[in-house]
Amino acid sequence: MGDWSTIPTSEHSGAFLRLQTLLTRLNGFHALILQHNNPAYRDGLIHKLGLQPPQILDLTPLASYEAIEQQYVTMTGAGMPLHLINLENLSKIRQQAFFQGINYHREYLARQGPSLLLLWLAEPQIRELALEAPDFWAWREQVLDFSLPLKIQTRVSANIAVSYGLELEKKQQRIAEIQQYLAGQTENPVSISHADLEYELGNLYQALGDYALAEDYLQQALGHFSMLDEKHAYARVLMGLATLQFQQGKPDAALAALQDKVLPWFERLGDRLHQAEAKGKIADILQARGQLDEALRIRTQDQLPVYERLGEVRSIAITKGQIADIRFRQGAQQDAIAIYETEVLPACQTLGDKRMLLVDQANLALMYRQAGTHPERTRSLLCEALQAARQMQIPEAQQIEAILQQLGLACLDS
Amino acid sequence: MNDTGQRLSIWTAKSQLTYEKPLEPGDPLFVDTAPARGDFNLKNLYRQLNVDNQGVLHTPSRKQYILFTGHRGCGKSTELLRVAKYLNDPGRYYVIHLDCLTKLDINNLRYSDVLLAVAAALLERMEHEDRITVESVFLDKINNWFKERVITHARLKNLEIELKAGARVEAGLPWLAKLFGEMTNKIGTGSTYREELREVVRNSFSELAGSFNQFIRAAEDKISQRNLGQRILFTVDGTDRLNAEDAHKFFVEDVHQLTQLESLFIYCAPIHLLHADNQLNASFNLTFRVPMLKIRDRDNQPLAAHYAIMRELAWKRVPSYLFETPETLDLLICYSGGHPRDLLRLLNVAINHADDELINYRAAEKAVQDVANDYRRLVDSKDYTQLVWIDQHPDIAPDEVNNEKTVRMLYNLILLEYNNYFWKSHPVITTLQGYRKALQDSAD
Repeated sequence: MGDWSTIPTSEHSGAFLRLQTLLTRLNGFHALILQHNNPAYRDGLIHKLGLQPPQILDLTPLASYEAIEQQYVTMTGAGMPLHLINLENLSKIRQQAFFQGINYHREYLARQGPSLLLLWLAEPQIRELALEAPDFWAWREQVLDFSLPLKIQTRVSANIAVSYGLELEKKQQRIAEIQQYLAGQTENPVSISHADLEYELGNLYQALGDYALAEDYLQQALGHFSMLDEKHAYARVLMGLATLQFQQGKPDAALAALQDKVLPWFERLGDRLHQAEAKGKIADILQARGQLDEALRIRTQDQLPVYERLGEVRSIAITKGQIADIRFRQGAQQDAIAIYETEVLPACQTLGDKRMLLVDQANLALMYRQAGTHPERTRSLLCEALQAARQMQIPEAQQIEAILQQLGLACLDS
Repeated sequence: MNDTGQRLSIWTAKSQLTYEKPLEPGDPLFVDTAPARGDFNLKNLYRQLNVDNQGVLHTPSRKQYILFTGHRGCGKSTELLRVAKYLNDPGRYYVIHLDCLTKLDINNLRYSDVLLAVAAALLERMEHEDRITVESVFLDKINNWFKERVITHARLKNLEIELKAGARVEAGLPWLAKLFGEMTNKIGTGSTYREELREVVRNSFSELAGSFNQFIRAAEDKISQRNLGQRILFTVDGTDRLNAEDAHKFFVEDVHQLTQLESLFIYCAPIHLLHADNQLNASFNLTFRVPMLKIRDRDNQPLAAHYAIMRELAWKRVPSYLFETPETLDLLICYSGGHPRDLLRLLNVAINHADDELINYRAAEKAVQDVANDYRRLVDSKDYTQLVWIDQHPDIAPDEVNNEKTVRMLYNLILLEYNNYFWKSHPVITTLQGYRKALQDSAD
C-alpha cells in the first residue's frame, strides 16, 4: 500500500472535489475522461475516492476489444462506477481497435454499463479518443485533468546536466562576466567563440528560468553558428531551443522540433551521441505526457546502448535513473528501487559526483516512501543526502530539509 | 417547474441534459428548431419524395436513395424521426425505420446486413403490427433463396433447426418475419453464423434483392389496400456513425448493391463523406443536410430570433430560474455556435462548476473554457491560420476551400457549416491562444 496522504495535490483539489460530487450526483450512464501522467498518482486518486473496493478494469492483459467488452459487461453488473486504466500500455493497433469499438458500440456500452465509466487516459490518448472515437467523445460528461507538473514528479532536481554544478549566485556571476566580455567585442563577423558564449548565456538563463532571455541568446547563437557554417553547434542550439519550448509548456512544438529538425541534423552529421541525447529529450516529453512505454523503449533501446558503446558513464547513470523513474510510474516499484540501489547509486559513487549522488539518494528515498517500505532506509538516505548538501552549501539542502519535515522525519545529528 | 409546479433543483435539471437518446416526436423536451436553421425546410425533402406542401403524395418514383446528413450532434436522429413520423401516413408512406445501432453491429457494417435488417423490420411490422397477409406466390422466391442458398451452406445447416424451434408456423409471412428477424439478430450479436450469413448474402445478393423487390411490390399493394400507406419508405439511422473508411465502403464502393433494392431509402450519412467524395451525386438522388442552428450570420452578427429558439431549447431542460442572469445563458448559447449538443454540454459543465443551486456567469465562463480546452486537443497548430482566414472571408464559398484539412475540421466540429452554406470556426476555438495569435498575425 502506498502513501496517499499527499493525494490529491493542492492543484487538483478543485477537480477532485468536482469528481467526488459527480460520483454522488450523476444518474444514468456517464463517461468521465480523467487525464493523468502518473499511474501511481492515478491509483492514489482512485483509492482516495473512497469506493471500496474500487471497480477497476485494467486493459493491459486483455487481448482484443471483444475481450474488453466482455469484461466490461461482467464488471458492470455490480452497479458501481468503473475505472478503465492502462490504455496507454496497449500497442497502437490495440488502441485503435479500442477506439473504434467504443465508438461503434457506444449505445450498447451505455445500455450495459454502470452509472459512471471513468476512463483514465494520458493526454495523447485523449486526443486519439476525440479523433478516433468522436461519437463516444461527444458523450463525455467532462474532462478532468490530474496531470502532475514536472516539478512534482519523483525527481528532486529535473535536469542535472544543465545546472553545471553552479548555484544561483555563481550562475549570475557567470552571466555578468560573459555579458561584460561580449559588450566589449566589436568583431565583425562574429567569431565562433562569441557564438559559444551566446549559447552559454542562453543555457544559463534557461537554467535560471528566464526563458525569454534564454530564447533571445539561443536564437542569436543559432544565427551566428549558421553564418559560420558550424553544423554541430547549430544542431546543439536547435536542441536547446526545443528543450526550451518544452519548458515553456509547448510539448507538441518541442516534440516536432526534436523529431523533424534536431534528430535529422544529428543523423546527417553521424553524431550518435547527440542523437541519443535528442532521443532522450523526446523521451522526456513522452514521459511527461504519460507515454511511458515508448519513453522506456527509447531509453533502453535507443539511448542506453549508445552510451554503453561510447563509454559515457555519466549518461549511463542518468539514463538508468530515468529508466527507474519510468518503471516506478508504471507501478513496478520494486524494480525501480532495485535499479537505483544496484546501478544508479554505485555509478554515482564511481563517478565521484557527490551532487548527483545526493540527488539520487533523495529520489530513492521518495520511492521507498511512496512504496511504503523500508522507512529506516528512507530516513538514512535523506539524512545522508542532507549532510552532503549542507557540506557543499547547495540549494538542494533546503529541498531535502523540506522533504524531511513534510515526511515527519528527523536526522540524528539535527 | 415539474408537472406538480415544484421548482427543479439544479441536479434534477442536469439529469435532463442527456446526450444519448434522440427525441421522439411529441417528447415534452422537443423544440422545433427548424426556423433557427436558416433556409432549412423539411418540405424540400418531402417534395423530393413527391409530397407537396399540403402533404399530398403524388405519384412517387419506383426508387430513390437519399442521404440525410449534418454535423454530429446537430439533431439528425431527432429530425429523421420527425420525418418518419410525418411521412408515415395512409395518404403518404408506410415507413419502416431502422436504427442500425440497436439492431446491428455497425462494426464492419455491410450492405448485406442492412438488407436483412430492413427486410426483417418490414416483415415484423406487417406481421405483428398490422397483420397484413401476402400470398405465398410472392413469398416463394425468398423462401427458396433461404432453402437453396442459406441452409445448404455447410456451416449454416443447423440454422434452420434453430429457427424452426419455437416457430408455430413454418410458412407465410409469420415464418419469413421470424426467419429474417433471427438472421438479423445473429448478425447483430456477432454469432458464429454471422460471417457465413454475410457470405451467402453477398454471393447471392442479386437473387435475394430480386426476390425482395418482388415482395416489396406485392406488399405495397396490400398496404395500399389496407389504407396504411401508398408506398414503402425505409429510413435508416446509425449509418452516419461509420468512420471514413467504412463509410466510403458502404456508400461508395458498395452503392451498386444498395441501389439494387428498388424502393425508397433515406440513409443517414456522415458529413465528411459529402466533402470527401464527389461520386455520391451519381448514385443518390438528394443529399439533404440538416444544418447547424444559425445563431449568427456570415458576418458573425447574432440573430436574435434564433437565440430565442436556443433559449427555449435550454429552458425546457434547465429552467430560467436556475440562471443567475439571462446573460449567463446567452453566453453559453453564443459559444455553442448553434450546435444543440454542445449547448447541452456547456450547460452540463456549467452546472458542474456552479456554486449551490444557481448557474452564475463565472460558472458559464469556466464551462466555455473547459469545452474550449477539449477542442484544443483536436486542433493542429497549423489549422489556426486557415480557420482565421475562413472566418475573415465569409463570402468565399466553402467549396473553394474544401480540402482534406477542412473535411477533417468539419468532421471534428472545429468548423461548423450553416445555411446558406458558409463555414465558421466553432466559437470556443476563437478563445484559444493559437487562434488569437493567428488572428493577430493576420492583422500584422
